[in-house]
Amino acid sequence: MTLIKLNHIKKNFGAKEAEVQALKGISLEIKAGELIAITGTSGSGKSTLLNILGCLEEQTSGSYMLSDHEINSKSKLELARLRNEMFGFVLQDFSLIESYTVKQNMLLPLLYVKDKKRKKVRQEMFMELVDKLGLTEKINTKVALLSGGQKQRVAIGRALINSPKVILADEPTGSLDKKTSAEILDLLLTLNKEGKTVIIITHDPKVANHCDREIQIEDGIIFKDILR
Amino acid sequence: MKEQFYLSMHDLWNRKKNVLSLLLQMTLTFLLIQFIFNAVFELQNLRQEVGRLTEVQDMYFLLDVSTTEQFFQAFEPENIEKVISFFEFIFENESFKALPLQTNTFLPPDERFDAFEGNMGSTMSFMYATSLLEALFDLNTISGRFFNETDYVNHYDYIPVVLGFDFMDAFEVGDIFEDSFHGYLENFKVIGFLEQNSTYVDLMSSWHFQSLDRVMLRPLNQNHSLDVSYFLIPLSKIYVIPESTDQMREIVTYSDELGLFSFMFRNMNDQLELLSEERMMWIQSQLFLTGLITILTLVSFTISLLQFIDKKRHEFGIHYLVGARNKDISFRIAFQVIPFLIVGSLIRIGLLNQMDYGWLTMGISLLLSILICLIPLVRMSNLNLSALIRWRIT
Amino acid sequence: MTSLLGKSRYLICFYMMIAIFSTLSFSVFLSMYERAGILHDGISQDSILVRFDSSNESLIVNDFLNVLKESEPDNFLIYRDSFDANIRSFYLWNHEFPLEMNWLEDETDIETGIVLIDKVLFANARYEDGRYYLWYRGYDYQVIGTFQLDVISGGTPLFFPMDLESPLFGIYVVDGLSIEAISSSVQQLQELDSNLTVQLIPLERTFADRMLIVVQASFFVVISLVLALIFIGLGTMTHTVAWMELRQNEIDVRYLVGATTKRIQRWLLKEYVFIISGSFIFGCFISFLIWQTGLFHIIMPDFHLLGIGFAFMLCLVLGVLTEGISTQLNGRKRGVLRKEKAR
Repeated sequence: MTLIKLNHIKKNFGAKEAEVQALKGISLEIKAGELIAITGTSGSGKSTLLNILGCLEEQTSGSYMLSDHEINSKSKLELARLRNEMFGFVLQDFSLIESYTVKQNMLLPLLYVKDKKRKKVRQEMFMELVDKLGLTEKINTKVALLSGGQKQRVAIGRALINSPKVILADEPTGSLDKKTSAEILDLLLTLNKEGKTVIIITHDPKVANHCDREIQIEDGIIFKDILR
Repeated sequence: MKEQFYLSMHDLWNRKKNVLSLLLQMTLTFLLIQFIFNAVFELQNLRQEVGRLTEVQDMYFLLDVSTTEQFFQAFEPENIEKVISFFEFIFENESFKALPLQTNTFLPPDERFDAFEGNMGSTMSFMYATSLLEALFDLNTISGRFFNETDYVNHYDYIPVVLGFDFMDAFEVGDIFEDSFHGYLENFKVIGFLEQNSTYVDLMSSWHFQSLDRVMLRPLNQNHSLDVSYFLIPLSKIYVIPESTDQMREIVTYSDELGLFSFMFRNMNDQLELLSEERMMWIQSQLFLTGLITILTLVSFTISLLQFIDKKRHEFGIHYLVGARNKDISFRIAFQVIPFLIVGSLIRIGLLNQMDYGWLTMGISLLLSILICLIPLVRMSNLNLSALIRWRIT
Repeated sequence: MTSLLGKSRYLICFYMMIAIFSTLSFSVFLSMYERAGILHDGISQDSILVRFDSSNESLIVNDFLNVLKESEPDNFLIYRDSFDANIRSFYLWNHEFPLEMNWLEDETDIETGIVLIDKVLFANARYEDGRYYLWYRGYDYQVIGTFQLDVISGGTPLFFPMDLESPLFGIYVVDGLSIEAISSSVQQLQELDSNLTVQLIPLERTFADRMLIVVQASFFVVISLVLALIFIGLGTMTHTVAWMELRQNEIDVRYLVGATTKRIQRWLLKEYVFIISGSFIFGCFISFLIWQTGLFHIIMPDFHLLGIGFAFMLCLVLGVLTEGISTQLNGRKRGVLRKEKAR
């Protein structure tokens, strides 16, 4: 079942004379449950693609279908709801609030869940998730005091707390040592096996090799789409 | 929404020193705004009151320009007949109305007055009442009665007095007390209490409405058994409502003929204009100061919120990332102003102990709060989402 | 430069606000101070109080006037006080009556005395044969003019011409002559009457007197201004610390490439003073425009240059102090100072 369909997506930045075309017409289909690596050199446009996929940025032209939703026609309010319900983000710099505890960071998405029942169910899942991520003893610890690996686990925990359909990971192992990188990658692979669609942005070929499909982007276009 | 409120309170707590300074600033602004409204409306009310008093006939004040020599002469026992003659000419004249508005002090040796000590220690204030005073300033009693015709003429063992509202805590109608502060013993009997907030206007003394809540009224009564000072006290501040200006000249001429007094008269409308001019100067300086401090508060607050947004960009980005809407973050920013509005207003009400025109101050305070939020909210909505997430304060 | 201005935008706004606030406030304060220097009944700061005590009544007022005129002054004014606070007598030598006149009669009735009265008392005068007369203590005086007293400080409502033949003793106020000129004139009188004792007291209000008058007259305004200045101080501190935080990256890089704390402090101070000065010029211009609107003409009749000077000094002192403290705090927080001391 097609979960994401991009059709000739373009993205420009800057004013007329200094305009930079980051994406030059990307068309792409992603099925539910896929494990995809988006690779490319620095400045190739892969992070821009992730921002568009995660509804963080609007494309300049082209269409984007997410499940049954036509993203182009969505208001900011609806995009926020989609970010909350459909996506879990895992970013290279962890994007955690350092002054918050592990628990506060992980429960952050539930602040914006309207459905009280869903909120309650997800809150009940919290301890189970913490246990799964090996953070049980750290739940009341401030994130600032954690190691890089632990922080990325917290980020994954936050991404999962609202049971999203898609995990968007932008260089999730970029700031970690080898051992921790392997642990985080294993975690993402496990999540994919459990049915989540996982899209990993990486420039690390080793990480890409673990994925079922690798989309190589160069200079704003899809250079290669490799199925393994 | 509840969560955003909690977060905004947390944000305030994290910069409590800055918050305390801003709170004091906001409170000062609210106080100044309230002062402005008080001053403007009191002046307006005063103009209305004087307009009402002089609606039919002009009101004049007799300015005492007597010499020191005349002053001492008036106290001589052999001149008491002349003083009484002038007293009668002023207060018992059927061709014009006169009002004594001199507030005097007395020192009743009665412990019931202890709770009402004024600035001068245990001395209390009293005024001479006439039927004109009652009618002009619409004085009513809340219990007992006001003076009747006979109170102004007959001499009783006890002088009937009407006490200000505040005295109701210590006295009852029918209570008696004595005083000999002016050198002769007088016995007083309470016959009534004035309504709360009873006031009168004495433009020659002040532009404020004078409260009667802690003043004793005694009837202006020609009591020949008392000495000359009894007659001189009410003669020291006289307001006259004549049929024509000629009558004012008659008063001046008559006083001059007696040789004990020299008077000139002033129209109260002129006095009101002078007071208004003086008041306007006060109001203008107040307005100037309030304007500057309000803008200072506005700028300080706005900058403080903008700095807060700059500092919290990354955090806001994360909130957006996990599904926060613009509305949520905007509420988090706007909620920060609410405690200032509430606490500042409460302090203002507590300090000034009054609610007059408070709704207007509240309105302005609300407007100020909205203005404070305006620029930060516009700025927040203009921030690029993906840039927010990448933002780090080094 | 663009980066500096960009990072300093809030600070610039704040200093512009301080500049507007302080320039206008100092101008108002200076106007109030000037006003506090004006004495009752329109006499100037240079007036001298002259008090004659004499057991001998041979000297008359005219003798005093004559010796004063011998020094050939351009003009002068003398008031003589009476025991009555409502009356003063005056003598003018090539001098105009110093109060604002509503009207002044050209012709006078030589049969009666004359009087100048406060305009609010004019209704007391009666109109007869084309002239106004005031009946006062058994005599008729022709009203030759009415004047307007200062709304705030008030003054004497009745002025009569000085009786030149009356005995000299009494209290006078002389305006327009120096204390030396009066003193030498008085010495001539003392030669005529050795019993004559004289006191000369300059009426000029001292700085402390005038400040006291300003504070008494506008106690609430002064208190509010002082509070506002405290808030400004606190606000400046907060915004300067925030400015420093924004520039932390630059500070760190400079430290990294070998700059000492002192050099960094000097560099920051230079930029900070540049920001203060620039903001002040803009703020000052805005306050000038505010003054030009005439909205506050009663309390701020003039835009005082001295006010601008005081305001700039305030901004500079406040700025340099807060910048210094912020740099110290920042250095401590970052451990830079400790590291340097350890070396």
